[in-house]
Amino acid sequence: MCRTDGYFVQRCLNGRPEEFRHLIERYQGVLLSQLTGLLGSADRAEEAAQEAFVRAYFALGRLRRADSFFSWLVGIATRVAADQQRRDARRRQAVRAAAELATPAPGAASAGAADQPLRRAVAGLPEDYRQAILLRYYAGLSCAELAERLGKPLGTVTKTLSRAYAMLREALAGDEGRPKPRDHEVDS
Amino acid sequence: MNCQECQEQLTAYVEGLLDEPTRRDAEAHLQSCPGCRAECEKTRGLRARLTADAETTAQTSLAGPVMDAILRKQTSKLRRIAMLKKYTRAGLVPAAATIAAAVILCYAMLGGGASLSLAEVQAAVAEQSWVHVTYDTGPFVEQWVCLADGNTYCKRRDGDVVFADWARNLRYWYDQRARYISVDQPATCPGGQVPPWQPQTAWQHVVGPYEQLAGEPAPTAGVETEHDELDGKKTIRFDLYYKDATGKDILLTQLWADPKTRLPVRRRDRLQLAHRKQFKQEWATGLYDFPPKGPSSLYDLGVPRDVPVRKQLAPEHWAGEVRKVVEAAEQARQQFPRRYRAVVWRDQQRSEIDILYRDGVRIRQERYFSLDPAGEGGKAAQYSLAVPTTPEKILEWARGQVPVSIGLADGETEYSRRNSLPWHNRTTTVRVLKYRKRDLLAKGSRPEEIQWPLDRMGPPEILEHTPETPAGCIALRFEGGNSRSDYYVDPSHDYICVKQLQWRTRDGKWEKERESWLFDLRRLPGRQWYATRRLFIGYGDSTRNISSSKLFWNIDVEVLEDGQFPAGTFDGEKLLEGAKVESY
Repeated sequence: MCRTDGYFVQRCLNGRPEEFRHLIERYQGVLLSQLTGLLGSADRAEEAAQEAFVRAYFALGRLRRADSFFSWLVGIATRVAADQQRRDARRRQAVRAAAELATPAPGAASAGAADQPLRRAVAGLPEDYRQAILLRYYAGLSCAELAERLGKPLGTVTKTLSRAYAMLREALAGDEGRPKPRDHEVDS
Repeated sequence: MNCQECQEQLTAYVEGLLDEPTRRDAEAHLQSCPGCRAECEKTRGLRARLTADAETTAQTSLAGPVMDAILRKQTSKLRRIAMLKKYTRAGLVPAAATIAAAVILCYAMLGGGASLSLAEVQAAVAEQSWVHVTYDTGPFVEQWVCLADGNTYCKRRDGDVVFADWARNLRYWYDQRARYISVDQPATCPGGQVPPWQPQTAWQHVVGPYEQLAGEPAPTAGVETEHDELDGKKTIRFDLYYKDATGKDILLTQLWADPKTRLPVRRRDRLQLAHRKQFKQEWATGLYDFPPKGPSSLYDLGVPRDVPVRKQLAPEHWAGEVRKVVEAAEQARQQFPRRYRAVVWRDQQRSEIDILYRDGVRIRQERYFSLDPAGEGGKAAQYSLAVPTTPEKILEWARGQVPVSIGLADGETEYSRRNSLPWHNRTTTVRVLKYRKRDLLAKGSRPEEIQWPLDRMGPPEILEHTPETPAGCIALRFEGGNSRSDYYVDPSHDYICVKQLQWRTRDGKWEKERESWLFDLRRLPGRQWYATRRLFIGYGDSTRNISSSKLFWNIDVEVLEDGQFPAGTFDGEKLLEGAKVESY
């Protein structure tokens, strides 16, 4: 039987900080995907994901419902991404010219295989659909587990996934027709 | 199946969720319809792309770097605490009940980025004569500390008044209910020798009580400095965090200091669990002032001058014969088996049943409740146990029950769990405390406590033989204020206290309050004696509406060997499951 997030959160709060590792392993894929989508680079996503996990760890005591850890964590990651984008924007203003020269080609510096258009498309999905895709693929839940987690019938979950696939395909078709944006332009 | 139906089932199809007939239908349709087939391939393609991308995220492992970062952040806290420990270890340590005034100022060494540092606050406090704090709630009303000699006075909310004389290691405690002053020695000195008084700096007296926190084996504290406003005035606030027994960081104390005078003006303390429940408040706020003079005796704080003063000396100061008896009883108690299972139950239905396990310092207590099968409708029958009965029957019965409560000490931590049972509607809670700080376990049902209940505060006197004295027994009397306890110990049976009498005063005369007898003594395999029956007689008190009572207990002790304890008996972690955890 797979332990719930709430179980590990409770263990951490009860003086077993090492149990946080399970939560990292469970959700690192989700955060990396989500943050690559938001930040446009796998390296920056990795940095932001680390920061999000560390922030989440030190704020665990303030998490009101231990079982809502996942959506709470994604919220933290989104704020970390926003902070990073603000910092980048400031830095860009300061060294605009230099930055433009130094900006690597998209994907060049990232951990090779990350499918950035796909992650961008996932990050752009409406909340419910994004959550379904992230949990199904990046957290590795089966459809049945997903249904249990979301408290919805299996039929509803497959419908949500179908709709999400359709939206993803649409987004990817549009995305691939356009010239690829530069790293720092993704948020604009 | 037509195209629309096929499209609707497509995701379920590629996920392999369709039942056999529907799957065959879908496959047949896909064979014949190129449009749907193309759609299906696209969905498969997208799934493969998602799966492949998800696999790339697994190539990176964030667990290592994140756990390292967490550790680094915690270690920087730890380093600050190590400095704190070194600093506070210097002085004599007054008891916890003395003023904890400005304790967090000991973070002086830490500096901090604010415009006022704790070092400056420390220096300003050191120039004062007395510290005085007035509290709005909690156990203390007022506290005074003389910074020259560390002497401490406090007025308690229950009406008691306490004075601690650190130079002589004496504590005077006025008990307003019993109307007497007891004098004891709060610090334990080897051989009873009080070390010569070392004049300390004022500061060390103030920070001394903090040793209790800083002396914990695990890192327990951290401090943060903030700018704050208090009644429109700018202040600096120092927040002290404490890591409780469950590992959670909780805000423990806040101290506000005035940047102009550099003196503390206000403090706010999180009350202990028991006090939070008692006063129905989470925080106590104290206001500081620094008077030139403080009280010079308990009588200055309203203690009547005519109350008796009784010395409560530690056993090493007791006279020869008394000391010999008490030490013999203590020795017998030490020789009682340290590995056993005990069952304690009453000759009565609807009563508690205790099952205890002890393995050295590790103790587990389970309390069950047997209901009357005749009463309380259907639910009672489910939880009923007919008594009188045998330990074997009780153990078998208990296997099918949920205990009302479980207490556990595992040598480091104490847990006290109260289960929610079908007939009461409450949350299951567990209190967790660091071992040795306070005792969460109920003592009343431990065989050692039942048989050797001797009070350690004395000295007692040995009574003449009277018709009250059971044959062959020695009678010891402990008396103080309006309480008096007589213990009749039996030297031929391991000094077991076979009879105990508790007295009270009424109109200046002593009368019996309650009485307890132990009998049906039995020998354990190691030849130690123990009582298998206990009788309790309560004499009632018509003025307080307490009626008299007579109760019988049965006690069964079974010596256990290593490996005979049920699995998980001393596993504290297990007790935390499914419960709300409370601590500190």
